[in-house]
Amino acid sequence: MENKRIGAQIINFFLYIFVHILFTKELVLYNTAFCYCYVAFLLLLPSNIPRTLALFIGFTTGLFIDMFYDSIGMNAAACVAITYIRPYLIKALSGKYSFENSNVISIHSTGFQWFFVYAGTLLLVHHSILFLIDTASSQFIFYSLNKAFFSSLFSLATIILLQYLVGANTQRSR
Amino acid sequence: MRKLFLLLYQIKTFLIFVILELICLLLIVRYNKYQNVAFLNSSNQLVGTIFKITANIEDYFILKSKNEKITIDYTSLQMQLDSLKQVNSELVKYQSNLQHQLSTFDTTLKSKHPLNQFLVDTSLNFEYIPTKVINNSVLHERNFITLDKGSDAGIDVDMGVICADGVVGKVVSVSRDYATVMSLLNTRSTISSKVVGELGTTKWIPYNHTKAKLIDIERHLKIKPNAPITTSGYNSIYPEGVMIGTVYKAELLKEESHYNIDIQLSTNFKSLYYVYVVKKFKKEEQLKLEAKSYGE
Repeated sequence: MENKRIGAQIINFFLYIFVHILFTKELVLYNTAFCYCYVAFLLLLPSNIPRTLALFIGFTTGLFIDMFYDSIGMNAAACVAITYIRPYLIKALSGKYSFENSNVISIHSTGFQWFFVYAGTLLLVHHSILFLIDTASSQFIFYSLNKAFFSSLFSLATIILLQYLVGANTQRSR
Repeated sequence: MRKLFLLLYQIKTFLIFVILELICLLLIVRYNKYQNVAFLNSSNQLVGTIFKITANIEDYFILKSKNEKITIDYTSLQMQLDSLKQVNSELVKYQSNLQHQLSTFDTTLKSKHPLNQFLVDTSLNFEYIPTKVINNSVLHERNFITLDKGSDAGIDVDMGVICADGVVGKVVSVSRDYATVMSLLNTRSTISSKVVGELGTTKWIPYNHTKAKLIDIERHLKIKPNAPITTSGYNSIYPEGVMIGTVYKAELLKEESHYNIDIQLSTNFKSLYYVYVVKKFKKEEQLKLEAKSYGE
């Protein structure tokens, strides 16, 4: 059972990263909204995963993505940050949803509203860190925050759509 | 002591978080040191291969615009060739004239004349390696380009990259088959440039991929709009006279001792398909000589 779940996560990792690199990396709206849908892999990790392991997974994912952007360390820093605050956020939001019967986080198991708040918050944090590090000088700080906000909306929409697209299959097999 | 370990164990997640973030910040801040590590760049074999496959697929969709671009490049090159042919024929005439004059001089003087060694050295100084762009970006603050040739084709770090329209960037990292280029559209890139015979530096200010800034041009000069800006050739990266762009707007602020010049870039960074890596012969000799003279 455990092996099967780890295998599923590894497939998830490659799936999200390849979808991101091949398709969504090139998606940019009005030169402002970028789509970083690979973050979905980190968002959808099981809620009971050891925290230290999650940090290392975040770090590796970030570095891997950085290779494609030639931005060593930027995505990694953002990913480590969101994997660190993720358990606290789940705890804070768990009033509306309890993880008693499953540790799976997905739009189907937690409901749209919960997932929207959870993913939206983490994406906003991720994108803010990413774009603020990318800004070399302070004169573009508002431009960066603007980019971070609209990119979060765009990524969130893409991730939710992907959830409905992929999730339909997994629900049937369950 | 035991308590200390217990405490460390309790906050181990936080410690690992801090350590990983510090590693990331180190990588970002000391970027110049690590960009030669091809493993962490888009020039690494795995990333390069993925980019190459996607670029090959994309090729089919942009075939038409690509063809048009190549035709335009070809005609402009053909025109340049024609004008060069004309200049060349004039030079041949001039040379035969000079040769004639030289032959009337004393033959012993001729071989000892110091100018003679310059006349002999007519070999080309630069070699151009044609490559294809497989990954490109213009929307970030630090934009990079990935090329589909690497050290196997003779590409090395710190070589200049140009295209038919003008300057593109500088190679920052190579693997066997791929190279990463720091685009001119990068806040870290600087190019030694020349406008009306005066030296300046070209820098890019985000986020407009058609404009750049020219700094260090003193206010006593007369700079007119549309004056061409070219590379100076004073470093060993670009040959002299490669087009960078034209003066778009030259402003003279009251208290400033330098011009504030906007450049209209001649290269269209959004549609880069084929570029040339400039390989300079005798580059090592030049660098060695320069390092030696700086050391003294």
